[in-house]
Amino acid sequence: MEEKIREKIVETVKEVMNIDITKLESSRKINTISEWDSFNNLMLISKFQEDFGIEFSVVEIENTQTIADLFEIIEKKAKKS
Amino acid sequence: MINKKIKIAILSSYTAQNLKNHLNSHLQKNGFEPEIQFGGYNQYNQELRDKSSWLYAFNPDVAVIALSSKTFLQEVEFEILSKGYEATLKECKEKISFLLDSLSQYSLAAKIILTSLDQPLYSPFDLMDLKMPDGIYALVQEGNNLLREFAHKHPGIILLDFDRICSLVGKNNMTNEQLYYLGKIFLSELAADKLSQELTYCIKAIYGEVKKCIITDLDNTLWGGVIGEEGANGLQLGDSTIGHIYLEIQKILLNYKNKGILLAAVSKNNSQDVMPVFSENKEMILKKDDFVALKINWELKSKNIEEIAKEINLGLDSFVFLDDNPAERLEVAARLPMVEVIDFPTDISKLPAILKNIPAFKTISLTEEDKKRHEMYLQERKRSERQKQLSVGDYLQELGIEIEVKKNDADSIERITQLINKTNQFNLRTQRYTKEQVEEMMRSDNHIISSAKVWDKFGELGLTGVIILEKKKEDDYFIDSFLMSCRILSREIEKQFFIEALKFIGKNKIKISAEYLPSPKNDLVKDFYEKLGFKLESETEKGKNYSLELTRVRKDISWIKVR
Repeated sequence: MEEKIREKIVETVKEVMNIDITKLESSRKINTISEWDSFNNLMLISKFQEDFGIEFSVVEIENTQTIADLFEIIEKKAKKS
Repeated sequence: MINKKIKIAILSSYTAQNLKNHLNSHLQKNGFEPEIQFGGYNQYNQELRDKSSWLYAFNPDVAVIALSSKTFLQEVEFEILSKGYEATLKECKEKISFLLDSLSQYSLAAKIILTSLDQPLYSPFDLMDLKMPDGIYALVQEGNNLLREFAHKHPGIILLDFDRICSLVGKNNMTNEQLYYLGKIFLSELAADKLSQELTYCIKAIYGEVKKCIITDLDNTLWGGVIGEEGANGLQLGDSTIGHIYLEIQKILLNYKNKGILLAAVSKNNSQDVMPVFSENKEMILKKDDFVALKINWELKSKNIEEIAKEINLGLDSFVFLDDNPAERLEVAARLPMVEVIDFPTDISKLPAILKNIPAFKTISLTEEDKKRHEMYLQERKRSERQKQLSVGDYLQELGIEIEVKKNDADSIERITQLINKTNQFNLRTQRYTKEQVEEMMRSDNHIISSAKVWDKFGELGLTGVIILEKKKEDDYFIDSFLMSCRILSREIEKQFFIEALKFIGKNKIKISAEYLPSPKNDLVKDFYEKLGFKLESETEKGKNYSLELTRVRKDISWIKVR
């Protein structure tokens, strides 16, 4: 289950951003990745919410700063739903 | 459908990048190959004014200025109480005037689609707002008035009713608040899709991709019931639930007719059963003369449609077909794939809404020619009846054709542009130009645009021909465009028109080169320049090149009088 969620996240980021996040440090801050375009970031977040059937609050989105944060919040929410 | 490359710039008062996928997909479905670029968030004024901006380098065919009240007017709903109406209105007007001034400075040949201001859902005056002379509604209305006055003065600008689009989507569904507060993305996916669809309608209309004639069935399409069984006065039309729906259907079709879309009917019936409906049934909105053709017989509908196409000289792709019988729709769709077949609903109460919103009939301008088109086709019917009775020579003499050719006629620029973009069959190079490009050519010393108006004893045929001569050097011209409306062919008007157009050059000794570029539709004129006496210089897959040394005035056509 967890593996599947991780796979799906990696895949989605690749699709929207054209970035392989498995090659990045998990503590890496998203806003320091130059290819991580801010418009695409929002599209990505919408897509996660749709694909996993989950909802983020705007505060949660603001607090998602590193790649590890991203995995954590999606996994936490997706497991609940 | 021809694949058309088109460059679109989107300038907006919000982050609009999520329009890209939707607009791409709508345009591709309609035969366009779009290239879309976006301006910076709220940078439209600078981008329109700065000739070194990306916009000028991109040089788009269509520029979309996408506004929304929330992002463009900004904060009015929070200022109107503290600052007062007058001061708030003044600021709004300044913002709008500045934008309109930016648009005036934008000097490229692009068509501009400007979205109007939507009425916001929130007003501090809530239940009172609408009746107040100084509420939010009144303020936004004032803003839209400025936009309308400007767009009305500049025919190159299309003002798209954004409030209507918001209503279609539902104002509560317009924005995903999260994305708006995080990234100033104003349009939800649903809204982006709807706006893209409306933009596509505009772009199709700009490029003249519109249909010209609706062919309708009669029984259970224009009225309820079968006339062969119920008789002319037994139909459901008028004072009943079903009867009211059919009345509305007829009224919608009459509106189309009055704005220049032709009506024709094809019905499997006995003609003597149907005709009394026009003379006896008082409820009928549509009269016999509202139809340019009535084919009432037991032939295949596809065959009848082909005959109508021939009679009124339109390509099959100019037709929309309306019929309640799925078998008939299938037959026409299978045999005549160029004809657009309307998806007829199983519940007749759904038909009026469908008819009101036929994308293929959406237009951005209405010329005098459009409004008179129906009359002209009726005249045409009388002409062809007379033609059958006389020899060709006698017929042409009797017609009493008159032609008036004008040079760079600015008053007819709308119609000239329309003809340039709509004419497919008699069109030697099929070059399309926007109104701004036509204007530019009229002003330039290197081009002469001649346009021909034609009359005969049956009436006015209108402005039906355009020739664009491009001056290459002194006494050396190239025929950039030569096109004529099909309804006046086979009377040699084109020859006299050519003679008159050459007179504008003002010299007798000139060299003229010309070109025929084949398109899927202009086979009709593939040997036209040969017939005019041109010498064929070269012929390739791409087309044919010609030249003509003119040393004397050419002989006039005897049956045509020049005004």
